[in-house]
Amino acid sequence: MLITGSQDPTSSLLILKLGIEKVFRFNYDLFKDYSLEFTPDYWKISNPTGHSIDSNNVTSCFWWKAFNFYLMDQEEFIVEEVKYIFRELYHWCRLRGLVKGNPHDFHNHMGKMNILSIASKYFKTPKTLATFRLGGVDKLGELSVVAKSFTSGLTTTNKALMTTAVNKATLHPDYPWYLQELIDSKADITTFICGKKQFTFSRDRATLKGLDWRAEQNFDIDSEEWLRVSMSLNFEKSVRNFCDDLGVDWGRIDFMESEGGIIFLEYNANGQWVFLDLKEKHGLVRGVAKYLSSNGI
Amino acid sequence: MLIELITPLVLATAPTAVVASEPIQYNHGTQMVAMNSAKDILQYTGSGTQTYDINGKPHDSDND
Repeated sequence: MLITGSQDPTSSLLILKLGIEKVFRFNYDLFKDYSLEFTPDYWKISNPTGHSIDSNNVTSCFWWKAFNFYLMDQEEFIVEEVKYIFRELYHWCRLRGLVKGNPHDFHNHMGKMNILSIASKYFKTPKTLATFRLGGVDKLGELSVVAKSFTSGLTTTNKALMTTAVNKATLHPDYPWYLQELIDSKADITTFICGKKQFTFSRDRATLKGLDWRAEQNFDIDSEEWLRVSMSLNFEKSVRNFCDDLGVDWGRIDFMESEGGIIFLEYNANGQWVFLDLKEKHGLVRGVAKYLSSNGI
Repeated sequence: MLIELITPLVLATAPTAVVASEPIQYNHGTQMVAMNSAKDILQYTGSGTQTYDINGKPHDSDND
């Protein structure tokens, strides 16, 4: 069962690889199209063509970006009721050991600070501070810092806080700040974790105007901004140990490469990954399809 | 001399997202949107976690 949204292209790519008969796509934004029977002991979902899945034949469940889509023109109460049901179905599968990937709300229970604490056992990590009233800022000393966002959320004017270099002396004390030491880096590195496999890619920072590659992406499919790289056995072991400590086998870890070595930045439990291999040269989509169907999906 | 203080809101910038004018038609038979109409569609999601095209390429933050 693939719990997602109808417009999600990653889900479509996975269905092409897995085969439509092996997957039941349950789109949150199209909930009204489906017939659902859900009791404490049994559930069955059918789409308008008659394709169905139920609690007796489900073999695995993968949640992918479902709640990133909107229920248009619905009362908030209805939205919350539908969300509740989707979450319950997912957790039905989780309680029976059928889920792949991570829950959509993973980071509500394991956020950046706690992940950095775990990561520091296996990788170099940057000095990091979350602060109210600029508490602890004085301990950063002369360190150059960047301001980041914990949530990647949007302001009411639909703007986002991308990684931005800031002068500590000019930070307004009435606001929460998430600060991290500025790393002088020649390349971003990202490792996509899919089951036991690791796919690591590097992106040259030489042409970046700012600090955050996400703000300067080239959307041309032929651009290949990210190049596949081989990492040392020590690095791969550190990634494995970090994932084991965190209890995950899926997600994406972001690093930076600097003169001091490779520095861990963050782990994204449900981060995007298709962009790393748009031309399917490195087998990411195939690898994910295999991972999802290791117990079936 | 007074220093002008900055806030996270002042630092925020518009993400590189393009809003789709309308959703792509979904086909329950194929369990995907019609591929031939997906080429130029980009979808914006309110939390800013991703905006991406049919190839799954994100245009902004990828955090979930």
